[in-house]
Amino acid sequence: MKVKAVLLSIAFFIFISPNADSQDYVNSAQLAKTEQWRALLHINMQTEGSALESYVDDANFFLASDGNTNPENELLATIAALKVQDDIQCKFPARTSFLLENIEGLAKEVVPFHCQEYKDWRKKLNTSKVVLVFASAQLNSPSSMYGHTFLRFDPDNVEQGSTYLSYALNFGASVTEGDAGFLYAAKGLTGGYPGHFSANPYFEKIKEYNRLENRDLWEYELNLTQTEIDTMLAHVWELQGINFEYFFFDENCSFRLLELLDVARPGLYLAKNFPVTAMPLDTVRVVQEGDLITQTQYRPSILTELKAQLAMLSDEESELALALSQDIEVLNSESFIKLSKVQQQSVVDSAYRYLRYQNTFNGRPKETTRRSFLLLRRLNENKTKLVIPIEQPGRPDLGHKTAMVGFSLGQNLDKSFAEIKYRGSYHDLLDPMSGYYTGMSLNMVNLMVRLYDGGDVKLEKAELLDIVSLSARNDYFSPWSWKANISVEQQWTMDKEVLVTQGSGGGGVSYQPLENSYVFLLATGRLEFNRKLDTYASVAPGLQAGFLYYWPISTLLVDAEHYQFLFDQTQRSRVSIEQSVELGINDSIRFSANFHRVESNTHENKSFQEFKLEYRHYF
Amino acid sequence: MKKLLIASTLLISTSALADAPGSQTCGWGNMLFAGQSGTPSHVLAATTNNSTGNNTFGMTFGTNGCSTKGTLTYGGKEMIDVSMIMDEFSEDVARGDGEALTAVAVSLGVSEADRELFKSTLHNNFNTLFPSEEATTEHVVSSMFSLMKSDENLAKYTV
Repeated sequence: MKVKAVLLSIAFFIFISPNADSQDYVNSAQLAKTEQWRALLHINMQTEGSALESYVDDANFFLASDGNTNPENELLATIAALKVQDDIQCKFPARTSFLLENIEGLAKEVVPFHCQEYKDWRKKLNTSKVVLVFASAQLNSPSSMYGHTFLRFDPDNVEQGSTYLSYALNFGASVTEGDAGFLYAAKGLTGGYPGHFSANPYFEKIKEYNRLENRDLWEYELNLTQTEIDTMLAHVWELQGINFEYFFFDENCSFRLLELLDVARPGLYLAKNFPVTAMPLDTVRVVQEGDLITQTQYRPSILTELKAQLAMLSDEESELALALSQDIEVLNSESFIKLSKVQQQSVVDSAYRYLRYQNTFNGRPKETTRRSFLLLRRLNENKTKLVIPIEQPGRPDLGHKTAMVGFSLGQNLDKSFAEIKYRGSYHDLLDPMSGYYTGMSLNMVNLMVRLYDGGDVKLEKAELLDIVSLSARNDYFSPWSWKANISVEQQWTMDKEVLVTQGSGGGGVSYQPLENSYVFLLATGRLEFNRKLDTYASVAPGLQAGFLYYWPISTLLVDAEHYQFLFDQTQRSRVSIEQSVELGINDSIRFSANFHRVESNTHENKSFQEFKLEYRHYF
Repeated sequence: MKKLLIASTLLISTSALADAPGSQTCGWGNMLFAGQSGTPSHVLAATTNNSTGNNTFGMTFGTNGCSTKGTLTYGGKEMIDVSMIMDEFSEDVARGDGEALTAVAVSLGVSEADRELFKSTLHNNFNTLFPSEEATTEHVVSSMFSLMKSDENLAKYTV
């Protein structure tokens, strides 16, 4: 509608105005306000006046000296440059076509220029389909739970199975070499690195995510038309070598991709959904809700494939495969030879995959390399074809939404309460499972306020961060499980509840004694700031053990925790039972019972219980 | 910034001259199972989503010190840089199918009708292509071309 209005007014001004310059001027004022122009300059549509500012952080992207804050001046400068400078058409092909289409008469003044490089690039890409790729969480790395997104451009003749050769476009931070660890993370969070777009063949991305990081990939084919794809690519070309600021939470990979989609299809205005944070998973959801997705492909990681392969083996075959991965002579053992051809092939295939998985980062040790090769040759000699059935899990974009409110009624210390809870993101161990990984929990910004019988209102807990990562160990894999938590919370100290600040973490092991279950044992450490303890800052080592079981729409967690403060000998113990039931994708209820005991040398011991029934809505 | 743009211009324009194997800048000496460099743990790195890609938009590679773009030539014929996918390719040849094998076929222009023949020819000659774990990419590619040349239906794709 807006566009139409602009076009109408353009036509109107051309008709009535005898002066070409002033006509341009009025047109430009209105054109500069359009979504298309703002999108081309990466200026937020919802800002006005002095708040106007482009996300682009690079003088090279603007022709007017104040182009990053003044879209109209930038438009005028672009028009002026187009009239006198041929290569501007090649540098800004999307702006050029937008202006030529929308300013009548401009085409007469701009001499068409043959942009060889740009033409070659477009010809090479030969794009007829755009695919949004979502890299899901990495095992044991909840920080990657937020995922990552990038675009893939498929050529005309792409046939199933040759997307290896497609072109992948990624937005990421350019990291200074030598920065490591927390500096790296901190700079990524705070905008310390510039961000830019970069291109790879898709097989490099497959290698990076599927193989090196063991992350499953989801490929969402988009229904962009050829014209929309043309516009998008013309604009992508304009971003070559251009710097943006990069922020992990908002101005990240996903936000930039939404901007590209907004350029391609004006009026979508997807980026507006993320004024504060843009979590890659949520951006996929927005694209899905915008009816842009036609088809979905799941590309399991190397590890997912390996685990599916191992799951097909009998106990005996599993032992043989493990032995074979360590000693090639197992091929000549009686227990191997007596297997059928098919069984032999799956044992060899498992051993080969496992060996390669184990040595992803080990270079070329002579022995392993030799064994890998002999296994590969054996795979080739045995002509039995194996099919590893890998069921496509629930689509991450169709799982429960990531913000949550909860309402509960309960009893604590023999007093009844009503509680309201808000969680910024994302998923805990008992939330509905479809689209999420088992054993992983990542929550940021979690607030709980209680109204007690009698009118007392209490902040029960304000949690900044809560991570649990359970990775099961078995004969083949030996990952660590861990957790981390930072919060302000109520703790019974001496004779009453006290609001304390604490940071805690733990590391240990977990196993899967039954399918769909975990048992875990963690050694924990806690730092608590509590004015009622003998020392204000106290440290407490401890232990936590638990059992987690997943049914299709219900999850049970039973766990026990004990820790003792080093200086004043206060000890706390807790046993909890929690069970959740999914009501729908975005609704669940859960019941919890907690039994607490606080023991101290200097005060009376205290035992108390808390029971709670909670309704949760995800939005 | 200007420098960057000039550099990118150069990269794209020279990429028309694809590197030939065995040249100074490009050793097709990569062997199987060469391993990977990089950090196995991305716990912290996830905040940046740093990309290994090239910020000039030609289909470039910066990771193997070998080629300046995704395709190389062999005997004047343009094709995907097999050294980048040696492990995947060897596995696909051993199994007789897979995406790496398809990608090589597509990059050589093997038509869909001849795709099965191409795959089975390589599959049945695994030992020729990969005589040992020390087989280099150059050996693999030249053996592949020999095999194709001696097949009446595949020979046409080698020129």
